[in-house]
Amino acid sequence: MATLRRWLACALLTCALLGGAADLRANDAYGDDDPLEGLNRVVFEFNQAIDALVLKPAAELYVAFLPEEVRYRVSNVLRNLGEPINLLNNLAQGKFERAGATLMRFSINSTFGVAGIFDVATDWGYEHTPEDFGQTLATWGVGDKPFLMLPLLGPSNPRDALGFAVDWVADPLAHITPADAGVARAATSGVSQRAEYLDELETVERTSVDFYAALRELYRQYRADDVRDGAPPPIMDVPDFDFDDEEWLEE
Amino acid sequence: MSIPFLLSRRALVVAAFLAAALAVAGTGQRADASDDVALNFVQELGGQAVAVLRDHESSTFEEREAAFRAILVKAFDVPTVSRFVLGRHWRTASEQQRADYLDIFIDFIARVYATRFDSYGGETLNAYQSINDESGDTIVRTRIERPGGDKPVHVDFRVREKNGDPRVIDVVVEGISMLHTHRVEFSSVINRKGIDGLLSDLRARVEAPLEETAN
Repeated sequence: MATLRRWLACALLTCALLGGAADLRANDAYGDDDPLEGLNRVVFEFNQAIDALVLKPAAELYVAFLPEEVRYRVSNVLRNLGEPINLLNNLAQGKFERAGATLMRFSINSTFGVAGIFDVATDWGYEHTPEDFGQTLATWGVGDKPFLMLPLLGPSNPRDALGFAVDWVADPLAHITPADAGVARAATSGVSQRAEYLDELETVERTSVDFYAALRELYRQYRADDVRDGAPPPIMDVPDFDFDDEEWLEE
Repeated sequence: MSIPFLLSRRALVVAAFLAAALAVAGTGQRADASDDVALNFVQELGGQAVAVLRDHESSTFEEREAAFRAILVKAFDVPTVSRFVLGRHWRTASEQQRADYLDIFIDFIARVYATRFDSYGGETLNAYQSINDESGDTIVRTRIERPGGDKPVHVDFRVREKNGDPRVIDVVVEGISMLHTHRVEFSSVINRKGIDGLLSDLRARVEAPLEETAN
């Protein structure tokens, strides 16, 4: 497992570096610059096939056989297991108050919350503040270009791919638990997350004219929102227009 | 000699401060009034949309979609939104393509969001804050509270005064701008298939058979 972990981290790092070295066209302010689009779309097709064959059926079975209450508890446990990484990244970003709250959450939920099954800490006023190393790099000034579609892992970019690898390697829990537990956790987390997005992803696919481009843009803005910790996005310049505006029609 | 001079200088500074403070207070009050207008507008609009979309017992999806579309047309600055979403491709579009696009755009938006929000049920929208942004628009922040203790969904409405009435020009769900997302998506289709390709894809979406969303 340790070897697999190291191998995956290396692969991700290579992806990150390759992506980073790729031709970086200037951002044209539309957010649709995607220098690796050709390759990304091929990987996307591959991911879609794997999703249809494995991940989506697994998620559907998971939803069909486990009651909502149980699924909710599972996602609570997974979330609790993520707290050490949240703590480290909150510290790395200098968000000490949130780091303190995360430490309290992990202590409270691991004990009173029975290994995280019950999120008692939220009721006690300690809010969940997820941070990952991709976000940490962002607060250190690393940008989110170019867009990368990673095999199996989905939408990303060099910064977030590297962040994912670093979190994976740095996770203190992974070092003190047996390898099998790590595999089980990764698999459960994959299925649980996919199950949460079953309806949403299908609706986006059914209502978009370009599913790949829609996901790419949703991912970009979703991550930017993560980095801003939910503060409103920067204001876009939206010029005023009217249907009877001659200039508009002739522009 | 120097004391009166200082005094008068100080008087000037104080006067300047007072004037500035008054000016700020004045604009502050005006801004507050327009904030309230925007806030109430969004609160009412959100209430209508939620009421329309959650009425599954006595309406079909077609009826809900039509009612939702009517709300969109009334509450949104449709020209500004349509034009912005086509972005730089507006310039290269022919007059016929522009007309076709304007025809189909709001139908497409109504279909997309009526479908996406149709599985919602029992939600309430709560507009809790309005912020004046530097562009002169007002951002109204809302929370859509969900039943069953799920985390609320954060939705920001960007509101602009248009001919004296408040009009929505963007909806930002959990930090994701509707305007921006569609602009990027449309642009990606145009880059590969041209404007006519986009128009036929939009038409295909709007004319696709209606499916009731699950739940």
